[in-house]
Amino acid sequence: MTTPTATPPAVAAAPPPAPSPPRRRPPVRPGRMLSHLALVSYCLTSVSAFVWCVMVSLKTNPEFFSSSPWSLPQDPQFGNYAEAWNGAQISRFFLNSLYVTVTSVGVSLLFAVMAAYVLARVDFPGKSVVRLVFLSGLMMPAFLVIVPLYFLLRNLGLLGSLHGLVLVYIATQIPFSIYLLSSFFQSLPKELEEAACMDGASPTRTFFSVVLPQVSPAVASVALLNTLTIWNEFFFALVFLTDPQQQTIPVGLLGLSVNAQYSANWVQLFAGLVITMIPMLILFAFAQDRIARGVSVGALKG
Amino acid sequence: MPRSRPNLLERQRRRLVVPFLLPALVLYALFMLYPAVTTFYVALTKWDGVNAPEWAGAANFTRLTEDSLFSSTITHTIVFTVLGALVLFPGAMFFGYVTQRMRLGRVYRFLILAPVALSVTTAALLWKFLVDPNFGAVQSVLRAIGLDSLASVELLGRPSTAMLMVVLATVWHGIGLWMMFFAAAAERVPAELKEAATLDGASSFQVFRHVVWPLMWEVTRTLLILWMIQGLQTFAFIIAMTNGGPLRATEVIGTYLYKVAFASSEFGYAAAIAVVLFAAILVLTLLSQRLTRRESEQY
Repeated sequence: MTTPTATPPAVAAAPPPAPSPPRRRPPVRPGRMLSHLALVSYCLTSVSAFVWCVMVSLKTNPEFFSSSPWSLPQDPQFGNYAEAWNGAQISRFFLNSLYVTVTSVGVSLLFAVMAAYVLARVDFPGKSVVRLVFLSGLMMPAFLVIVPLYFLLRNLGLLGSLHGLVLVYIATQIPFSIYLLSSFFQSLPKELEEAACMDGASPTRTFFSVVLPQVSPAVASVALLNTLTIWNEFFFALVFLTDPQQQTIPVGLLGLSVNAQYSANWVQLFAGLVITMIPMLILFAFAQDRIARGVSVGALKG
Repeated sequence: MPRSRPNLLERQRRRLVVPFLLPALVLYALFMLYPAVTTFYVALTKWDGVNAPEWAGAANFTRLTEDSLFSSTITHTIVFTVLGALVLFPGAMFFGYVTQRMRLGRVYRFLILAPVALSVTTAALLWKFLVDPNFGAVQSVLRAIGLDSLASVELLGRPSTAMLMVVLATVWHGIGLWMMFFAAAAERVPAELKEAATLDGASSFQVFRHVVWPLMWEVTRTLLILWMIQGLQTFAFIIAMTNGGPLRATEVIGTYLYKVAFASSEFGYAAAIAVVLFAAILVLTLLSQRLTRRESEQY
């Protein structure tokens, strides 16, 4: 996204050395004030929801029930975080999510880059069919595959295991990644590859040391989008991961929230919620533009 | 021999086809294509997941037409989608348009977009607890501004308000992306047009209504279909916030399918629901492709 701030009106761009300099900004209009008011109140609501969550996570359970929801914690209980991390197994969910996300995004990206390259660059019989087969995956909802997939994993002995989920996640990311990457490959000039070939590099070598470096920005965008999707994936994880020891964050949190209703240990749950928010918000703060750009490309052209 | 140059490259590359295509194709075929195709077969059987599936012909589909629970989930799904569009589209359009040339635009956009990074469960639970009648923060705000009657309502416990709450949480979570879609669309409107209108004395709302909106309508139409496709598949927020309740008032197609399959073990029937859902999504996808094709022909 280009920065929306630095676009002065065209009037100001013309050099008028008139005695009274032209006004740079339009006078404050009621419409503008209302826009700001709406934006500020919306953003304030979002931020206070988050702040509330953090405040609750620092209270004690009796305090949580007796004090006003917006009161500050009397004596911040940072121990709640340690308890959530160890006792409530947030650390377990966290590592599971990390393992599932890193392996599935990495492997699917490698396979998708290779397939996209061949689909974009090489002519071979049946190519249009293969491309269509991959692209058809773009409109397959998870609901369409869930029943046979459940039994496939069960027959393979992979039901309830993170490895099974990784395989499913690899497959679900492939169509979208190929779709985005192959259009990117098509926009690359071919000269470098031809030169490498003339220098006697094998095609595999050419691919890994000449082509891949050129597409790394696109690969990074796709990786980021896939990371966001997989880290937050809920449906497959809910169906396939039945053992609490083997759950990812989205499903594990749901289990914790159900338990909190019986054990009344709410503050620990809130500490868990905050712990799961922090890494994604940090990632997001650093990669906001890239994520927004990638998502809009994927949605508007798809 | 300069002629053989592309041929050599071409020939060398051909050797890549199989090893480069195979890993992606095998995994994709096994874990997506095969289950997707099998669903159509399972939909024609009666299957409890333990014994072998029994051929049932179209029985599952005739049962769907008589299943009042299924038709109520269709209604709820439509209510969700329409309510969501009514909140999401004006909101996202407004945010996307007004933050464009603002000094604080980037800050606003960051704050509006940030919830996208939270997992759906986190976002859903956050809102579930915010409106909890016992300890919710929203209730105390309502009381503070004198709306005591509203504060005592169990917002997620009443059929009349539960769906609205789920919609609001869903929209809060995703609105930032839709804001970016609209911002991208609005940026494609030529700046000269807007400036000319402004110089002629049009207010910013008038500029939007008469200059930007006609050009943005094309994109909005496509986005509406995209939202409908997403709305048909709504699942996570409902499971986390209401689990379909109270009194099944928020049971949608997705949650119903999930329960039919994994709570009642009626896998054939669940597959039939999946086929119907897929058909609806297919129709919407084809519709959006037709619209975009016509659009590109016009330019």
